[in-house]
Amino acid sequence: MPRLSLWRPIKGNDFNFIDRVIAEHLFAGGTAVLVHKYLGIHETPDTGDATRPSTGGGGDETFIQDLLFLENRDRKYDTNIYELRGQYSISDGDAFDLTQFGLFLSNGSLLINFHIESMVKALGRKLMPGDVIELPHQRDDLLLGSDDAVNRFHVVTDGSRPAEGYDPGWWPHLWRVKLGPISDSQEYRDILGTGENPEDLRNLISTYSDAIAINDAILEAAETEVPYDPQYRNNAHLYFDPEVPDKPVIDFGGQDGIPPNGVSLVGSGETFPVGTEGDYYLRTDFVPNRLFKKTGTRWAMVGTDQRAVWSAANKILTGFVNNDNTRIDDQTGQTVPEKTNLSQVVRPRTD
Amino acid sequence: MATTPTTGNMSYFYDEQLKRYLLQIVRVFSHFQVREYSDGVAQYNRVPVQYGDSSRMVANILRNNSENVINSAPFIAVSIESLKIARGRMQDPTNVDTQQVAERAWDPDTNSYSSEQGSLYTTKRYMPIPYDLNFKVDIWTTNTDTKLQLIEQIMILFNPGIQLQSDSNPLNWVNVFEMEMTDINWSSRNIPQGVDEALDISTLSFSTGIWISPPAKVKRQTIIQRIITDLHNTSSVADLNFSNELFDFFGSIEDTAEIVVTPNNYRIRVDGTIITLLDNNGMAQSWSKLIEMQGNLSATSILKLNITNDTDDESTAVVGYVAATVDDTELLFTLDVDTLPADTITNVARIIDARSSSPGVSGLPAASVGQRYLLVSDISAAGYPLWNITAKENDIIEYNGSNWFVSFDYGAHSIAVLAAIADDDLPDLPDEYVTNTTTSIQYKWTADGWISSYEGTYREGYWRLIL
Repeated sequence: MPRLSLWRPIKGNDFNFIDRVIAEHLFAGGTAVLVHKYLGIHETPDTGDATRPSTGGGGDETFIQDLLFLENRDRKYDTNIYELRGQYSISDGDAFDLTQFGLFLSNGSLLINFHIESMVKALGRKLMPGDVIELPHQRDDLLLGSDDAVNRFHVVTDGSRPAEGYDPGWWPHLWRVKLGPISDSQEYRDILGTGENPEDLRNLISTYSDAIAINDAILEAAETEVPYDPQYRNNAHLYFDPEVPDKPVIDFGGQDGIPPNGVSLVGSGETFPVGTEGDYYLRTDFVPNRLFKKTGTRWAMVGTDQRAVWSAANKILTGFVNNDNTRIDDQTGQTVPEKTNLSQVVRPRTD
Repeated sequence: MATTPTTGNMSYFYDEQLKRYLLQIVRVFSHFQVREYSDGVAQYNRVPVQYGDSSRMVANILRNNSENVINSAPFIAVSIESLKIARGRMQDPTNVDTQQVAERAWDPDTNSYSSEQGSLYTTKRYMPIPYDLNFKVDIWTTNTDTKLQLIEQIMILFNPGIQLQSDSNPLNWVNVFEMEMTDINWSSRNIPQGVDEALDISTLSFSTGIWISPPAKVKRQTIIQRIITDLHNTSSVADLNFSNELFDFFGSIEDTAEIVVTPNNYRIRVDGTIITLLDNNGMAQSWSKLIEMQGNLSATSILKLNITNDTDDESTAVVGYVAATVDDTELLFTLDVDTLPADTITNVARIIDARSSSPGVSGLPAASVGQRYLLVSDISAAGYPLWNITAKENDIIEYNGSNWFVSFDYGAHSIAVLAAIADDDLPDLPDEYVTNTTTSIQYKWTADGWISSYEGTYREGYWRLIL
């Protein structure tokens, strides 16, 4: 009689029997899990940066997009959705944790067990970090302020074989994945969409549009208080009589390029007209534009138009950053932007 | 109009000053974008910014009261870290600054400002209190590339700081403030990551020097501007051991002279009920041009005439209402007779030339007891028997039932007054006033004769127009 041993170096019939039982157990008692399979990285242009290699038409799951930061950002997901069965323990979540702005839910981390063979049969591989899963049974069809319904989305952050998934012959049958919440971010744009199309899932499941609307409201209030560049003072409604020497004066000076007291410009341009005494003229060849008043035989500068578009940067810096000017490349004849990153300024041409 | 509620000894006020600072601070970070690729095509996503301390209720509303709604990343959160009083920027704590400003007139027909002057305001601003507002900006990102994109765009702004504005009101003297980056906490994560994949949070710390101001006083200015400039008997402030650290240094210096200034140094001529505006050369000037600098004439506009030699003495000012006339150089003056000086001499019935008229002759009534006349010419008893009195020009004569006699001897009074002026030991004689009951005009005695008690030309500083 041979010595007793449950260990078999190959997956034999015992393994198959147990595996089918486990698969049936998970199918019968598990919940449906919809899988958005990670396929690799979207085609990225070849920038000549060795740390960011071009996918070159490939870019499968093993491709690493950024070799310096070691991260895959522009992820590509299968448009087909795979259904698996999984089991996990539902736990009570704590309160909505605002210390993380809701980006992390305290009950957002789940551990779900899948049957390995069923999983590989469906997906062609095991679930891996980056795969996104939906839990239909967590579907919420009672959204506040909306008649739509959304599933619960998670991303796989880890995968391992759980201790309870080994049979008496020491062969594993289960794959346990750790799930975290996804965010509406670059990594999941393939699934959520950009929001430009009305049917994009992003419009339904993400707070982005609300966050932008809130931000816009703040901007509108800020622009009401300060409509132009920080040198501007709103004094158009005030009266200024320059001929009264002891007249009180508050910060006058044609800062909006408009003559005081509602007087009309006789014109604007790059050369002065003949003009008559007291005429106001805006020279547009100056930046910012300058306001002149005809006084005797001369045009006296009485202010500058400070109504520049508001920018957090000072005027000089704004001129460098918000620079939409273009130039003609002498050698190629092409129109190219004047704004050039400093590291790319007048670099040697490639053959 | 509702009054502001008062608790104890302080009334309610709230100007949302900190909120306005926060609006502009959030604005600084509200225009950044991040680039991402989709099938080789670059797309740019704007990064939303919000105030960090959201209420739980709003946070749940934003996610439709569902655990399934997800937040977007990257995003930026701004929150106040601390607010500290800035002793180093404190200045004169009790300083009150006064500014005057005119508003363009509002045309209700067009609902727009006209090119004419409207109301004139005097604003008083109390010294604001300096604070250092420290806040942090959390940058939430899901990958390092996005993080670096945002950080690089933000870092070029602060060298070391930027200048911002909390509002664009030219009368708000503290609406410009500086914002300076003070620290960067590169990441909230452990490196390398542990068992959990967490979002990365970079925290940028900033400090801004802000000011909190109490309410200002805004008054509608109705008196034509009158500036009294103190002159001190020295040619250099250094001679006074001047120190700019001493509050109100000049307040302790005794004034030795003053210059009285009215707009353009205009004078006025009062002629009966007509007030004419004059320049230094005596040329008539436009009232409307002067008045529109300060406001508008109204039914309650009054003119004050200072009939003393002291510009500050308004206790005896003669006052009357003024109104516009068809002649822009003239105003119609309606005297308030109660403001005239009290008569010191009994009224006269008329001012007459006794040589051309007599009692009961040429329009004069027959003599009666108490009848009094002011003479404009000399008469003698021999030459004018109907009067039977010898009197001089400017004398006041009175009938006692049987004869005319000199009631006020102008010559003798003049000698007494001139003697008093020449000799400091003699007591000053009071001014003499008498009213002609026929014309109701009051006259004042002068060494050169009787003159109207208030008519004449008033120099700058001796008249005030209250609109």
